[in-house]
Amino acid sequence: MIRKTLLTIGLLALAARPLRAQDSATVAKAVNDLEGQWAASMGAKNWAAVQSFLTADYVATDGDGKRSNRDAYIAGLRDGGMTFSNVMNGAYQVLVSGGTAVHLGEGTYTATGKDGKVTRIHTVWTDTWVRQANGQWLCIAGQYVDHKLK
Amino acid sequence: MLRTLCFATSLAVLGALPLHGQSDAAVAKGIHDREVQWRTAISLANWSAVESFMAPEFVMTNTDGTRLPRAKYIKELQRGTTTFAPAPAPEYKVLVYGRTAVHLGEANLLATGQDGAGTRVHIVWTDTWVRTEDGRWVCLASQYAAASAK
Repeated sequence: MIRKTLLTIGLLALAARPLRAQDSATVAKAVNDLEGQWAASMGAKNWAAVQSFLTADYVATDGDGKRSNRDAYIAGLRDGGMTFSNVMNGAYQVLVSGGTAVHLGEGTYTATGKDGKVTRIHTVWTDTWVRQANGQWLCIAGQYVDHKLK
Repeated sequence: MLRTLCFATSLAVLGALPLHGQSDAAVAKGIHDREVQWRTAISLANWSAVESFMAPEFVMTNTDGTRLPRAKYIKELQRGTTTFAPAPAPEYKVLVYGRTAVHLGEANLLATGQDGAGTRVHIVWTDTWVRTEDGRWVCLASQYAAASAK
């Protein structure tokens, strides 16, 4: 009887412990993959997919310090008159702390305006991702700075 | 004996459960207070205090996209003097997700280099804070944009 009770309580104790976290390298790889999918979705103008990477209260901050909420950020991409191509993410670092992952990334892309003007841009960002209760990673905030390449 | 054993084990089960967190509003207030203290420490050139607000793996991303680890960021600050002043009607927002908090803030900054030349700018930042095992909040990463002072 005592043994059975102890076993039951022991199992309960194990179940109550936080789930064993993924190791940092695995999280870093997963978050970087998500960043790549996000960039690819922008290139493909798949705005529903872009939205799926962001929390409802996501805030983007651009190089001029202008803030946009999720809807405004997506509307700016969708309706801003630019198309994005040759999106290539480059070097990156991910700082992982429990359920937080900060992606320090950079990439280049080609922006084509309504007038057909083509600009090659280098962008550097700091994106903060948080792990949801269901294990999914979503970006809660991002700040980026763009520089035109000659 | 069985009752005592069950009681003791139940306490162990409870101890293994995650601690009930502070409310999001309390966390937001606490993070904003730490941001103010951080900037005050910079203005006072109290470098050990400045360091205490950042995780060892902290990364600062400057307006030109260059990245600085904690030690280099502090060295950069030490090269001149930096004084913060509140921007007129400063806005801030804190996004709280469990052990993650993102501070979206702004301030005016007066930086004076070793040559005595001063620059007054309005800065807008995204700072990612994480809660450590001992309950402290430290900043993991920061990126800021600069524009003309308000």
